[in-house]
Amino acid sequence: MSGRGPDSLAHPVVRPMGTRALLAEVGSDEQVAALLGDLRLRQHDGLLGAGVELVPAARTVLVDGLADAAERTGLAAWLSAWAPHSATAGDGPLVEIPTVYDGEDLGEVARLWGVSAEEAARRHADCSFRVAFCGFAPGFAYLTGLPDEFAVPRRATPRTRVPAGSVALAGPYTGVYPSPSPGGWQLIGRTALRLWDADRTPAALLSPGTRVRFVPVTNGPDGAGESK
Amino acid sequence: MPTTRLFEVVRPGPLTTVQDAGRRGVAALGVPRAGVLDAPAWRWANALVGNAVDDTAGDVTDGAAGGRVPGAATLEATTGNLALRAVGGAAWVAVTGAPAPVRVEGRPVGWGAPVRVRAGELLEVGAVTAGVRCYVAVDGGFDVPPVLGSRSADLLAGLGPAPLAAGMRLPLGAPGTLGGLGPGSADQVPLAAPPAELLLRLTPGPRRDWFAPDSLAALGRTRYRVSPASNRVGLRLADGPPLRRRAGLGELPSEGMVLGAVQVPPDGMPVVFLADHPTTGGYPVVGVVPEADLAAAAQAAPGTPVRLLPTARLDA
Repeated sequence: MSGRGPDSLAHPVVRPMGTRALLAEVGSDEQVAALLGDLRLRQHDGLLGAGVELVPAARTVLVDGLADAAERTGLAAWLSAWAPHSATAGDGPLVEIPTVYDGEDLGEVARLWGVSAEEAARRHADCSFRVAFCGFAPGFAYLTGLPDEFAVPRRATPRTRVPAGSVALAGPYTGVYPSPSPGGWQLIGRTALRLWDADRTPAALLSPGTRVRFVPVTNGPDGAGESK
Repeated sequence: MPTTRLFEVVRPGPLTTVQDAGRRGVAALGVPRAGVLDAPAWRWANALVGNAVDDTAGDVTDGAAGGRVPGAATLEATTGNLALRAVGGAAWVAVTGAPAPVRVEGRPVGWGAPVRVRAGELLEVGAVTAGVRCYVAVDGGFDVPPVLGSRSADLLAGLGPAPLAAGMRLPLGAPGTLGGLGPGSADQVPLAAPPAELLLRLTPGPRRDWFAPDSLAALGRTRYRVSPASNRVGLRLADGPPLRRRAGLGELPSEGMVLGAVQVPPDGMPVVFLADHPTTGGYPVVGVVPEADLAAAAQAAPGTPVRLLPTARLDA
């Protein structure tokens, strides 16, 4: 049926996004990671132009900048025949994020999970995360890795200003606000790590495929001090 | 050692930003492309002052990061109304895009022509007489520090130089380093007058099937108007019938967005994404306006009638 994506075992559904881009939809965030990895390999091997942009999202990979019609047709055929497989585990770089678990919504998240605040923090820090995609703001990464049953709703009323470094949950995702902005995610903690610095190389510490662990720390003089 | 040439901002205008061809290759980090909205006007202005006009071959080396910067940076002045004083040396200047009166020290000079501005002289661009956005190019380009490979201001993500403010000093690049042919060498390019009615071709989008068939079929005959809420993120359409979604489709997970994508939020009023558009979005994209049509969109003033014309393919 139209409007539905493919199931988890089917080939991608490939749709045109204008005349220079294709949108490939797959069945899960693991398949997004696997397809993105394979597309990056094709680009590395020169089978996709260096100027082509690959933009992963929740269930899709956008391939933009396909100026050549033959390249576009060939890629559409390749995408339609792509066989879903597991993402290569542990291939991305690992970033550890020192985190003080004292967010304003930690109590609410703990209540939703049916545990104490301390236990909620422990469970979150025990998970291994991966950057599924970025969006919303430069360097804002959507991290997957929380078990499905820990998904939480957004706040009914978004905050007008969430400080940079806030560690937050919404739906199945964990995110860290790279810069101050309005936001409706549930705040569970904060980090002093600078996730985004436009003048640094790389500007973003978290890019699609990066593996992430949150390391609990106690509150130090700079706001996110020593490891426990 | 040559004196540093710069322009000091005397009157910034309502919204004037530094823009080049924008940021590429960083969409996966959530970084919008930014860059000029009216690319032909930007190319023409640069050609008139002898800057390289090809937005890929004419790159300027960025000494700090060793990267490449897309084309020479110009000013994009929304509705004109700015005044700049030349400091430290003379410059060639050209104003293109939306037509506006141009003066140097109060003397009327040519619009769409190379103009010499000597040190200490005041360059004024008046209110646009049609269209929306003027481009002010200088020989050597505006040499503000590049961020992620571009000098463009990104008003959505807050990257690059801030919009112009009185007293701001804008350094100019060294003249003659951008590979152009020299001031005045550009062929006179006829400028398309801002349209009385904006016609935007609409090529297929990924979520056409989210919309009621009769609502889609009526689209080519439907007239909207450019909303005053339009900005560098998007051309917002108003004063027309909402595009109706089919029932029972629920929510769309966020997906990647492209320049020209026509997103339809729940109120049914289409938004055509321009240079500062977000890299991902959760509203269905009914179609995509080809890049060649977006310059006209950038010059369509609020209230201009607009039609979206569904087109299966583009003729080469």
